[in-house]
Amino acid sequence: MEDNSVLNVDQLSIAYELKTGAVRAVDNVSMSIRPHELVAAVGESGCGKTTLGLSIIGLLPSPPAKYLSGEVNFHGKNLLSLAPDEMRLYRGTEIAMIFQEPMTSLNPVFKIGDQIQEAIALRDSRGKKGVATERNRSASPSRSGTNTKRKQIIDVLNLVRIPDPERVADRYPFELSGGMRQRVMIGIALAQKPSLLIADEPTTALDVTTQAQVLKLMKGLMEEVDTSILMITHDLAVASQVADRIAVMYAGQIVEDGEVFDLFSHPLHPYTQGLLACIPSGSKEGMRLKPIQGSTPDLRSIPAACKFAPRCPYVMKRCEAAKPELTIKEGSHRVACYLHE
Amino acid sequence: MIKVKNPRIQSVIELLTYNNETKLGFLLVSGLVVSAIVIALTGISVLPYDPIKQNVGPALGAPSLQHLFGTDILGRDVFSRILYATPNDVFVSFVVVGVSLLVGALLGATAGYRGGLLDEALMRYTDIIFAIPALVLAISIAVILGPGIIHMMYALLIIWWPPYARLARGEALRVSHQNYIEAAKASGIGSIRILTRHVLPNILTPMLAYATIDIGSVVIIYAGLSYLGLSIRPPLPEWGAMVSAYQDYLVSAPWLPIFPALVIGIVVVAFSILGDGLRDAVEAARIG
Amino acid sequence: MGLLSFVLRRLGLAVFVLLGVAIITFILSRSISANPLVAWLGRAASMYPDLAAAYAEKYHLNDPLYVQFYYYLAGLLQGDLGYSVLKGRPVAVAIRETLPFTLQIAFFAIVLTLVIGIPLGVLAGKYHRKAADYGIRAFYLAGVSSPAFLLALFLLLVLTYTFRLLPSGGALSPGVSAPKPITGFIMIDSLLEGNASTFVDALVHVIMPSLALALGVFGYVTRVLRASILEVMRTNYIRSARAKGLDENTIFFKHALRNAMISVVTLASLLVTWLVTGTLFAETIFTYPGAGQYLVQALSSLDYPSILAITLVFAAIIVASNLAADILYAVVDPEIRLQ
Repeated sequence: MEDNSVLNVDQLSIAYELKTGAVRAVDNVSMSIRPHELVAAVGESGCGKTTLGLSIIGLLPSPPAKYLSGEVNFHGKNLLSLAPDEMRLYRGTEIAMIFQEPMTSLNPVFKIGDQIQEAIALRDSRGKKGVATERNRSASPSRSGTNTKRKQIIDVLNLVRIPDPERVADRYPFELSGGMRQRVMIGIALAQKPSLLIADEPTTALDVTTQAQVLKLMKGLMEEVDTSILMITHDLAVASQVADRIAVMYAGQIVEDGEVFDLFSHPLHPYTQGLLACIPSGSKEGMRLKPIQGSTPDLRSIPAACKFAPRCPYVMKRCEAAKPELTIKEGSHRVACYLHE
Repeated sequence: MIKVKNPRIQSVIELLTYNNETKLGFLLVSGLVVSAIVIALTGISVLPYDPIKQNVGPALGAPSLQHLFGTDILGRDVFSRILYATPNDVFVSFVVVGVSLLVGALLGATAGYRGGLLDEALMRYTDIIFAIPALVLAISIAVILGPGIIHMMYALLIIWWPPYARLARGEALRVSHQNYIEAAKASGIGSIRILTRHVLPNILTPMLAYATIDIGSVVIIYAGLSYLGLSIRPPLPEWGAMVSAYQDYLVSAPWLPIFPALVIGIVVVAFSILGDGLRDAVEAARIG
Repeated sequence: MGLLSFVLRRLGLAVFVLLGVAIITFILSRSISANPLVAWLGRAASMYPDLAAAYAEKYHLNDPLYVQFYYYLAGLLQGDLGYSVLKGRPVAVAIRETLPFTLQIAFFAIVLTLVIGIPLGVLAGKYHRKAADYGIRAFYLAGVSSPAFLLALFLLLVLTYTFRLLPSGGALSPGVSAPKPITGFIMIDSLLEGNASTFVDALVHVIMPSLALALGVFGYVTRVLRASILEVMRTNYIRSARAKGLDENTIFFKHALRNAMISVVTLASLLVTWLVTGTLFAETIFTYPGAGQYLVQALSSLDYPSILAITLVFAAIIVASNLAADILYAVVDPEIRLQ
């Protein structure tokens, strides 16, 4: 366990209790994020990455979700032990989150500037970094006049490189494009100066060109704003463009985890290898895409076996007998596979 | 869970047993309809007293075991009178809603599907009708046609279909863009066939919930018209007419105007419950 | 600029609709009897032959229908709505005398509807699926399902005869004299005169009819607001607000409600229709001298000119309120202006 990590998830398990049975969405996940690091959690839909993200920021609706075991340590403090009111004080100013659908994530009846202003005001009332000072809200009213407030709003819009910020601040969300709205969301999130930003599929709903722009923006901002990012995505190619480290998830577990270069140059887990083979790559024309055989398992059943075994081209007897643990292979490169023990 | 072979009937049963509201509502409404039919067919023999006969009880007698809703100034049994008037409201409201549903669905679906001038004309015409309150327009028409239940029904029929046309149009627009319609068009099936076979059946279900609640609305308006004296056929009883006739006894014999008025309200509540439940059921069916 | 063109477009539609309504009343008037004068004058047609002749001339009743319609329209715009035998004066005058009373009831009814309906809708939305929610729903179901005369009689029974809280009817108490008619609204006029006691007396008399109407209509507001609140609380932007770290109260009252209220505005036109319909019964039962009572009296004596004219006037009121509601909606929801 690293002491200066921003986030340290330790053996977290979460299940959803549905009418049809309990579904293990997150299964014994351990991972950490260091300052100024962009970690991407990559996997197919339903692999638990979104659940993981929501659980970190405390927005997981708690029925039907149930925390089975584990800790979510943020700057050393276990967030799961906090009461809802206490957790709320972390939201926004310590941990922020942006979501997949920029078109519907902004309140349609408030102007952009006002929505940014709200984030700034919340940040000010809590003190820039501390959590305890929210109660001093009335004691330290914003002495800055409207001009300063306006300037702060424009600064945020400039931060996310929105052109013509003066006009945009007075616009309503429906007047902006998807890419612009997503930038505004990023701006609102970063305006509160969180040390961790969780981005859940931030570019999936955008077209390819805008996607590249937003990704470049996020990467660049990490330096400027002193934030770490956890990016959740199903697209390994997107992750490779911006991530420092990638955690590959499958059926609720992390199956491989390492620096981008290591992962791409020698992928260890068969699932990772399969994902890489799926990436259409311009330089390999004429080569057929190799999809991974089979389909994701039903998360209701928790077999005492490697969950990928049914689809694994290298499956062995012991894979069906017990689940492999995530172990260090080399340096920071970890994998959960009996092939590499 | 009741299971039946015929899939159409099965889906109807599923709708009706979707939740507590639909079950309760269906129970109340079917009780009402059955009573109406029984009374209409058997006439006064199934009632406790002859509704028209005077002095079967004391004048202005309070509700008692012999006279559940009391008696009026002429000694007639109020309960029997209310029961006897049931078929009127039930009949009128079902006919008005049924016909409006069909006419509205046809017009609206055609307009929504075809678009163009027909659509524009329908929208403008319904805009105009909507501007005049239903009751007031019904009064104006009733004044021309003269009093009587059938005339009231005609008056209501003339003005009641626009909301259905609008609903149908909206649904038809939604449905028209679905893939199976495009496929049908592409395979050369004529418009009329598409309309009747594919569009209409799919828009009727969502309109069902509205129609059920609407029956209650017709009951209220019809009661209003009969309160105003437009469908009187004395001495035969009519719920609304009873309320206005007994109004002056509000202080001396409050049960007289209150019971008929309450009955109207309860009937409407029954249809509302069923309609609300159906709305949820239809919504769930649509998502599923 | 979007707002202005929106208003102009709606205004155009309103004029079109009014024209359509005029056509309908024209058709109705010609359907009443073979003698078109009956529609204008009722029984006065046979009672006052000179008046009849004057009308026949003025409205070109011997000319083809489309000419008649033109003059009919011209007459309407000049304020000629026929002559009422029942009231013994021109219909337009009678309407001018009675309509303010109806509008007073309508005004207070709307206020009461919002005062009762909105808080209940908010409560039902906030305490969704708890006891309060079910209780409120039962309450408004009862209200909405009750015919107006049931509510009026019920209030009369309880508030007047049982608890002796409010008067049984009329616009003013028997001893109180009406203020000088400046605007025609006795409540405004009494204020203009500086006569506080008359104002209070008028207010006391308007409460029951307004309440009777409001009880029948508030349910629509409550239901719509509740549904809208539930829908809004499930949106992505509320999720974003939570992620910002805002507390639930701010989220509910500032973010959610502001969006949910929009749905109430769209209800406005429906409300006016129901209110107008209800005034017929409320005014009759509370003997309140408004246009609704006038219509009912005209009905009993088959005063055709009055009946048709009031139909037209009520439609005009509804068109005007629809227009106002549409404009209010555009002000409240910025996206609508661009449509």
